[in-house]
Amino acid sequence: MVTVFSFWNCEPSLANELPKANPVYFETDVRPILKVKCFHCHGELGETSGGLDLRLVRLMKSGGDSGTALDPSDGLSSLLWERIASDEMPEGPKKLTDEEKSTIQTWLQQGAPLLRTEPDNVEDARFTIEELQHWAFQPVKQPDVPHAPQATTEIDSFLLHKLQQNGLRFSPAADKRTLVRRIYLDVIGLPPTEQQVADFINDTSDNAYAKLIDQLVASDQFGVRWARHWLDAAGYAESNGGPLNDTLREFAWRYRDYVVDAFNQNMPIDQFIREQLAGDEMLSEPPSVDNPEHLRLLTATGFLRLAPDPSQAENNLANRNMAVADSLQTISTALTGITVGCAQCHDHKYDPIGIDDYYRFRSIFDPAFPLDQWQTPNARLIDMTPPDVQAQIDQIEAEAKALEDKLKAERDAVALEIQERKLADVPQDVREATRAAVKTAPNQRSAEQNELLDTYPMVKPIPTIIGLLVEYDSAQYRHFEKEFQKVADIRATKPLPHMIMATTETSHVPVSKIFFRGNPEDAQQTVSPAEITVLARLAPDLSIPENNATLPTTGRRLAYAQYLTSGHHPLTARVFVNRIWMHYFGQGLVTTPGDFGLNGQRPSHPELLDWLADSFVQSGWNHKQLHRMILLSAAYQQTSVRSAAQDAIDPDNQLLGRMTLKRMDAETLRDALYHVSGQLNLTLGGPSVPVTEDSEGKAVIGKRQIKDGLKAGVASDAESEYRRSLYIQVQRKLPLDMLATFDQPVMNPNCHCRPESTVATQALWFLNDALAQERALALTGELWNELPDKAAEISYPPLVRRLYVRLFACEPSAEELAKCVEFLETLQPQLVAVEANDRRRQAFCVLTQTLFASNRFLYIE
Amino acid sequence: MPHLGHTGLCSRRHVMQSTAFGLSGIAASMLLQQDGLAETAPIKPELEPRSFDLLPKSPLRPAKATAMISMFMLGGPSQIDLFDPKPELTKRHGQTFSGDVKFDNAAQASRELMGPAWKFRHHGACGMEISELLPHLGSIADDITLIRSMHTGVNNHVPSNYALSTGANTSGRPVLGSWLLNALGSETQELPAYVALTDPRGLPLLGGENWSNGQLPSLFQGTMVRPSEPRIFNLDAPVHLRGAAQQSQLDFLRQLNQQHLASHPGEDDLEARMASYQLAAKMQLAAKEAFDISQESAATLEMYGVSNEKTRDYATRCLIARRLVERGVRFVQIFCNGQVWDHHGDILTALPERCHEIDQPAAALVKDLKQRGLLDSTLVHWGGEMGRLPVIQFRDGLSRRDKVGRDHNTYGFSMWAAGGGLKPGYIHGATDELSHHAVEGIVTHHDWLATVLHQFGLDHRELKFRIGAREIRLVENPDANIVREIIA
Repeated sequence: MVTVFSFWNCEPSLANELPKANPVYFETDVRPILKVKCFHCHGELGETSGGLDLRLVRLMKSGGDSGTALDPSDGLSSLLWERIASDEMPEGPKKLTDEEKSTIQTWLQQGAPLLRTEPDNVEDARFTIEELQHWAFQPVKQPDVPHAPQATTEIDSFLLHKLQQNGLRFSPAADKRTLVRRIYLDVIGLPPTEQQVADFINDTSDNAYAKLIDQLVASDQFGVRWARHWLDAAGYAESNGGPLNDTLREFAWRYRDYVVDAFNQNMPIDQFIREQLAGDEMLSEPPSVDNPEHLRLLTATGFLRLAPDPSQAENNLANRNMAVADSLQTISTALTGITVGCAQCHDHKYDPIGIDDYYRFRSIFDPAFPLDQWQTPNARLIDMTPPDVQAQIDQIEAEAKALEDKLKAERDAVALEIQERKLADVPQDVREATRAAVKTAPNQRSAEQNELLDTYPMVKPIPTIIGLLVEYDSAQYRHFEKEFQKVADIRATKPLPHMIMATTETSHVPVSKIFFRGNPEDAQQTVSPAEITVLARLAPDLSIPENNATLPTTGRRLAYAQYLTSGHHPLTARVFVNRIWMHYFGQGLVTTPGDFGLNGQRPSHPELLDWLADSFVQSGWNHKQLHRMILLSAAYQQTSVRSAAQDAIDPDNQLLGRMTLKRMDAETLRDALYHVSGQLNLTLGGPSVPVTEDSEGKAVIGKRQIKDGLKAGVASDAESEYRRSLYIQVQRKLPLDMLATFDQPVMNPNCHCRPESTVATQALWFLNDALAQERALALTGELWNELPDKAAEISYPPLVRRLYVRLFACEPSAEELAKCVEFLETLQPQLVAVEANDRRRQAFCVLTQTLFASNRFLYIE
Repeated sequence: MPHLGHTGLCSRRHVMQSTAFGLSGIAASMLLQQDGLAETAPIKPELEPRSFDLLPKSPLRPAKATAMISMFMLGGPSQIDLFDPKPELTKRHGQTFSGDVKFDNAAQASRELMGPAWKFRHHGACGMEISELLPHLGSIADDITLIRSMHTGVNNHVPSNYALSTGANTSGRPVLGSWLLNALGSETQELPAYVALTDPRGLPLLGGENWSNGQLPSLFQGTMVRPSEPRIFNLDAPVHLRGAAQQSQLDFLRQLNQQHLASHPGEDDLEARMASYQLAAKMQLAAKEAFDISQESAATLEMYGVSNEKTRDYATRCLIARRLVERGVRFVQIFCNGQVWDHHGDILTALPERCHEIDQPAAALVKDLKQRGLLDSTLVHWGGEMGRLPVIQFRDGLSRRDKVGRDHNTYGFSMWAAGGGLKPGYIHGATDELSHHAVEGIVTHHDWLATVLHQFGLDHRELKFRIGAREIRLVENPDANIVREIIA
């Protein structure tokens, strides 16, 4: 059924002879429609419903059970068109669109032309030359830098060259104040402080900007900012997801810290990718708890474990399979921009990837994800706790256990007393018999004893009384609840064990098979590990071992990782540089960063993309250098203000004749709101700040308190609340309210492009949310406290100037200042609910909150 | 094909609709009217686009009900004392019950049968027998459908509450209201589509879980409306900014944004964001208007019992519920605090009190809806997650016969409904001679939810939601039956 790959007339030379536009051909225009909408029942995997196979025109002519489907001499009278035009086909809700129908209609009117002779064997027509020649499946070129006068960097040459071809040029450079705010927010995700603004403005040296770039790229907050972007692509979350309980991944944060460290230490990206895919296979010896490299390599492989894994809540085959499928999707889209996952149930509908390709590719990972010897997420944690720490843990546990045992004995005694009290309510004539009955083990009781206990249902064995203690004696219940809390408190003092959410293999090597229609219960042909065929063509030397005898593991992932980062893979570097570009310019050179396939967008600047990818590889995959290169371009430094002339030609700014106005993402906004008052806690690393639901269902920072087994408020501390957003726990089902309001995505399984919404709830948040008010009050308090004489009448203008610099990196114009002061004066008498002597300060607080709400704050110009 | 997630650059429209994902707490279901605020050309469709919105949608079949008000009586009102008279039980009062019985509270359990402490009377043309504790309900007997054969068969309050609200006795699943929004959207675009009205004395047991969207997008979460300001989180200005101050603030903000836009001409996003502030202001007005019962006539206020201290709180919520449904809200829940109908030890005093608080308002709601011609399209529901046992629970020991109550019973209990195409003046099903187990015309939680969906023109077998490779349904039980007998 699934045959060995072969290609349909695969001579690349044909590419140049492809006819253009108007004439409609089967291979280029009609087949892609039928492939998505019809092949599923008429051709794929041997399925020919009604005996009809639509994969070749010749097969349409010979038709099926209802006779010929296509007569090219009178196409519009043929069965094919009749069924499609009437929406009789395809069955189900998804019909062809009017545009698709019109394409087919035109093709039929033109006599159903073909570009080339159809192959004898229909399986040879599985993929077309057009699909195989898709740009992303071709090797990265080393394009010449085009000549462009005025260009100072290579990036600018490529961009200017294309702009000039379209009669456009770069917009003027942004002023220094706009630029300093932009670069701080882009590179470290924080607005500049008053001092940082002044330093840059006052530095009039020629290389002031270059110095600032170096300084920011060297900041440890660089890693925090850019880890956030990578964690989106990798689908980082700290819970297992799935339809049932969203159980926590307590140690996922170590992977987050690995990414921050890798970026801050400028780890070459090829190494970064290899470690995440195969860190465990790179260990030269059994891992040792005091070898930091070992710990790092194991932690890196957490990458493979980030996808939702519902097997923690319900460990069945469907859930295991779902976890593997989601992991594969994350891996392939994050690293190569290929949606291999779409071929899990049948051939990919757009890209030349067969279902067999999917399972060969998946086979690379099967030894780490064995469906037949599955371990649930918690069971596969690796304990790398150093012996001295373990000794401490054991000692504290012993102490806790001793107290626990003592309390249990006391509680047993209380339960015994209760039992006696209940027996006292039993009539005297049967009391002794009832006592004997309740003391007898349930499976030893006689029928009479059971009847006695049925008749006196309040008489229960000791363990039952303990279980229902709150009902038997609520005072005692509360007493023991308090006492047992002491046990929990002792346990809470244990140092953290060094558990790693890692990926490893055992000696078990599962047999990889194709799952018919994606169903793991229906495993069919056996396959061997391999790259997908369309890419394997470019790597004739690539061999992924079944089981590398020189390694303790199979070596499959290691071989794949080495090939991915060899510099010859057509996508690894392209996809990575495109992501970095996207975060600086608001959109990627390829605007679908997770899909470089036929359904994705083509690059706006294919040569620039290849030049960037190639230079990046040549630089030794130097991450920070890539950032510097982009930041130093004139393109990055342009103003974001549109011009009418440019909008007329390039309204979407695809040619980058200006900077794109960007909205702060959720985390940047939150961090900025704490940073402007100087309160943001810039500490790096460690366990995440917990998120919980308050009594009214809002997800807030803190730990839920439990009393009598029910929710009883939330405890939190400022130290944690003020941490950067990266360090806030990410639960798939419980995203922090503020972050979710501003579009923090739910990782199902990962996210390539942050969605951006403009909705009334965001407006209401800025105007009325308690956190927005608190932040405004904090900043007001900060400025107020620095005033020399608090008793004197406070003059607004100096305060407004400082506020503007903190928020916008810019002093207000005379007109702006006047308007602010006017607003403050108008507002004061309106604050009737505020004490008269506090109105000046409160009015300023409202001004601050209003400026937070203004577009100028939320957008990066 | 597996769902691809956001592999493509999403179109703005798609983004607008999907943003409510994960958004919780604040008026999540108020994210309407975004369309047109910032719509730009779609780039390319996703392979499997999934977008969600609250625009009104037509059901599969013509619907009898288009809105629902659920008065949820958490704790489990005693069917024996309110809805289900049993002469045999009265006769055997004080005798020992020898059959099987499941106690949730073994500590205070007994087998002594206890008949109702109150009399039952016949009401209306249909002659429905209802306890003297609910005289106002008696006055609408000809308008309601009484089900005396409810059965969930799951232990204790929390699982039974889940069963009736979400179709399954486990946590984390979407409630009925969220499913209705998912299937039908909302008729109003300026009010939350699904409202939970809470009691001034506190939240119901489980708080927000009672209006949780579970695995559905949080766009479909219920919006909690508090009994006092702030009624809806973030909707109204903080106290010190009420009135002229927030108006000044909004005016100033508009000036700032206009000036900013002038320096960034042609940026649609900035204009859209300015428009979002106007929409926010409109929502504030719409909600304020809907919650303002002072516009109601004196007769209406009187009918609900707003002027009576005992009934005021519940009456106010019932009246607001009617006003919300009138304005196009799809689903309204009215909650009591905690689990106030859980009468283990003080049924003799607490039950009459609870009944007094809710009887007049609940009956008035039905009357009012009927007068306004809204009852035909509004399904009204009154009931708890369980009923109670025919035997005594002695809270303070055998000697304290004034401190008695009844333990839980999920095997047989009563609830009533009205409107929305149900059969008025009709009694469905029956329990055994002691009102212990439902025995005739048993209605499980699956059956009840399937019937509700049916009245909304939906099919419980078809209403489903895909999560990864799975589908979830409100009614997972394939054997669920629509209770045809109660449909008019």
